[in-house]
Amino acid sequence: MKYLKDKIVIAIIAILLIGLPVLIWQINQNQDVRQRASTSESIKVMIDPATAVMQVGAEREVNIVLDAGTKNIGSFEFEMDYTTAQLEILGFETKSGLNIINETSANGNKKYTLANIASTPVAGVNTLATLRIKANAVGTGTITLKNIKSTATGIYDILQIESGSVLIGTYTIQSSTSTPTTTSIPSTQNPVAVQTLAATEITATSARLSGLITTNQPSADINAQIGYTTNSALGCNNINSNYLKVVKKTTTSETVSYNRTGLAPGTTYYYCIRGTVNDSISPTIYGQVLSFTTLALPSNTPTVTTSPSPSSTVRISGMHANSLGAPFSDNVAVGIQITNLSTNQTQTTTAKPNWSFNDLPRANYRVTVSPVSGYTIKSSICNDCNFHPDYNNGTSVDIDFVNNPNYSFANVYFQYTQIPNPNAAFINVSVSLPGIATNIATAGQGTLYNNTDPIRKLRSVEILIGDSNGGNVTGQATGNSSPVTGNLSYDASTYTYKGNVDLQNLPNGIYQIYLRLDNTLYKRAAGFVTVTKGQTANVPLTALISGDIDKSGTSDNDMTLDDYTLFMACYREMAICTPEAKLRADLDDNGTIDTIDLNIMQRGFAIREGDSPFN
Amino acid sequence: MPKKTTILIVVLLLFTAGLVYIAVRTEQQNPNQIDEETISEEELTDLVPTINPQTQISFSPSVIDTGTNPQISQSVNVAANTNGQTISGIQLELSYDPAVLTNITIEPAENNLFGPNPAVLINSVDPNLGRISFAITLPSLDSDEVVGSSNIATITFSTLQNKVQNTQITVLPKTTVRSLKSTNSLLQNAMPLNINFSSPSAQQIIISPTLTPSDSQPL
Repeated sequence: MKYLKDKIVIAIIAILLIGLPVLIWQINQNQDVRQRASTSESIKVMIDPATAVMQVGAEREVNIVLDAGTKNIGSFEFEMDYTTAQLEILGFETKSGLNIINETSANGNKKYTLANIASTPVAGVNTLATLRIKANAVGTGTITLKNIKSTATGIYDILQIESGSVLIGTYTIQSSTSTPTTTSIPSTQNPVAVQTLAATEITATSARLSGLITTNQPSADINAQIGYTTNSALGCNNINSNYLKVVKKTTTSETVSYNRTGLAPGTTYYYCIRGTVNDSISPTIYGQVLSFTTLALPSNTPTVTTSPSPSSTVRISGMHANSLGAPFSDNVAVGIQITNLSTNQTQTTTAKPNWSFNDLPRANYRVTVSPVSGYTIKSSICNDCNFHPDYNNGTSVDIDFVNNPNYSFANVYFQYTQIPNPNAAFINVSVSLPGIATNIATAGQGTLYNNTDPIRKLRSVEILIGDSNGGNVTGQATGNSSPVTGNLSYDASTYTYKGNVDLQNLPNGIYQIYLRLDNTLYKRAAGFVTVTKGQTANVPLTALISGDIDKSGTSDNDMTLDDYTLFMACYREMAICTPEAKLRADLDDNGTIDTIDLNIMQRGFAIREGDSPFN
Repeated sequence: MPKKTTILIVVLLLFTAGLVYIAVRTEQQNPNQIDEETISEEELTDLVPTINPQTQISFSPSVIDTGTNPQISQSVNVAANTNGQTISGIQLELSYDPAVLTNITIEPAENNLFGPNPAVLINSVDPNLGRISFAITLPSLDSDEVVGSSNIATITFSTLQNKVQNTQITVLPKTTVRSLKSTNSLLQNAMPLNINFSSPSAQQIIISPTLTPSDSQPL
């Protein structure tokens, strides 16, 4: 019996020995969990811009931007060092609802403590404060934010600064007489870096411009823009964008490439890439400005006596173009065949609108375009086609590389003109847009002609048709309530968009024509148009009203608060602005949403409602 | 073994078993709690930015009695209460009976929800249709959104001399309240203005005979 008692006592002691350590271990585990939970509460702080070029005497604003996510910031304090030789702090202003409750200042050092003493929550992305700085001397001025500490409601610990507890803004200060540097180097704080790459595929009239976008923080889409100019004095920040591509946020790096055609032969162009993270807080980062020179056209009296070392391979490229010379976008299949006239070997491609054959053996070639039902096709340009440029009514050209050993490429354009359907009626349409080579100076800002080189050279047009009494008869053309659609191409000589539109099944008659593009109100063209099957009627040039960028619900064809809200969101690069809306909000189509676009939109509000036929 | 010792041992055993059970159960639950807090930023930004509407629009006062002299110009404020939501603008689309009401104007209210210098995008009164359109928003593209309860517009009107019938200024469905953070309207509800004639029990009205119609300043 005593032996049994001892066993029970030993068992109890054993259970206690096991249970207590387990209990202690679990308590420690719970403490670790709480610590992990608290340190996972982080915020991002950024200096915007993190880099900039200033001239001596210039002033600018530098924002301290906070992304608090869903947390409600209660307090925010930091210390700031700055180089007094180069920079002077002219002002400090809080922006987000945080008030300055403590401020100390010493030579080159300032400390601020901000607190939210109002009921307004400080959450999401906010500009906490704005510094007004002045450049006083040539050199590199820096602003260093350090010892950043912040608290939030309901979180009983100092928040972790995800972007690092030390942030540096670097500002290159130049003499007021020197030319600004045209490139900027992204700091380590910037979530995106860009690199302009060397131009490739350079011909007399085209080149491929590329840049590399990389990001160490793929949290938002990146708007990558490539621009070019013939002005060698412009920095990347002043070169108009000619191409926009949204690099998706799932991508950490991507090469953005833009095949630019229509360039002038023998001309030097300057180009660069820039990138902006679509997160409302990141500054635009500019790539280095590089240059290339298009090849010169051969002279009318070529001398081929000296051909020391012709390249062994040649390249033939070209483009399918519409009747106006713009890229051919009709939904029909096309084909190109080249034939080596020495070997009779052939190659084909169905690429559209641009096509090319690379690394061909040096020989003479015949380029033939496939016939397309409903269109007449004729070669319009054939650079370096020195031999029989117009075979088969223009559907074939021959290229002589044998007698022209200095040339290793050729460009061939084929233009497609739609054959009028005897049962269809067409209208020639031309429209102008405010801000596209028009003077909006009377409405505020803007230069004499604003943007003469819009990015979107091809625009889709929607057309409503009214009868002579104004009744809506669009359905007689389309068979349903949808508008008639067509494509318009930008004509750089008249600064207007032009195109030929098929009115489909519309009977002969006298009609009113209502036109709009994707960011304009409908506008009735002046007068009446006599439509006859098998013929093309001309519609007078119509000046459209831009600003209808929200196409949803009752906001369609009406300038409303919805349009303005979407514009503001795109201006601030906020989440509700889709890439498509951003294109529509760029009313002068120069790649930048700015006060000129706002000015154009304000003119739209003076009109408010678009024209439309009676329903 | 004494009875007390046995009881003590049983209590200790139960206590220890309870602690072990709690420890094991807590260990199983905590990882799930942490997982719920670690939604990736990418997943968050993929969410459709819509917000539950909470903003209310009303007239102040909500009932006007024109009394015995309906020809006197009268004014009424349009108020908005965002109920804690931040907003960037409001567009009013109001309807009235042009056979009863006349000389209608609308202008930004004093002590405005959108500050002392709001931007007025639309200020239009169509006396044929009986339609008032008014859009007011932040002073500039960079302004912070606003929150709170305050007036946004003041409407002045008169009644036609030969018309003495109760009427309303109603709020049309096109009326919207917008924020830069959402794709939907934040308008929860809007109440009409009731205009009664010669009702002795009506609320006191605000009379401002010196107010004259004034054009707004479109942007």
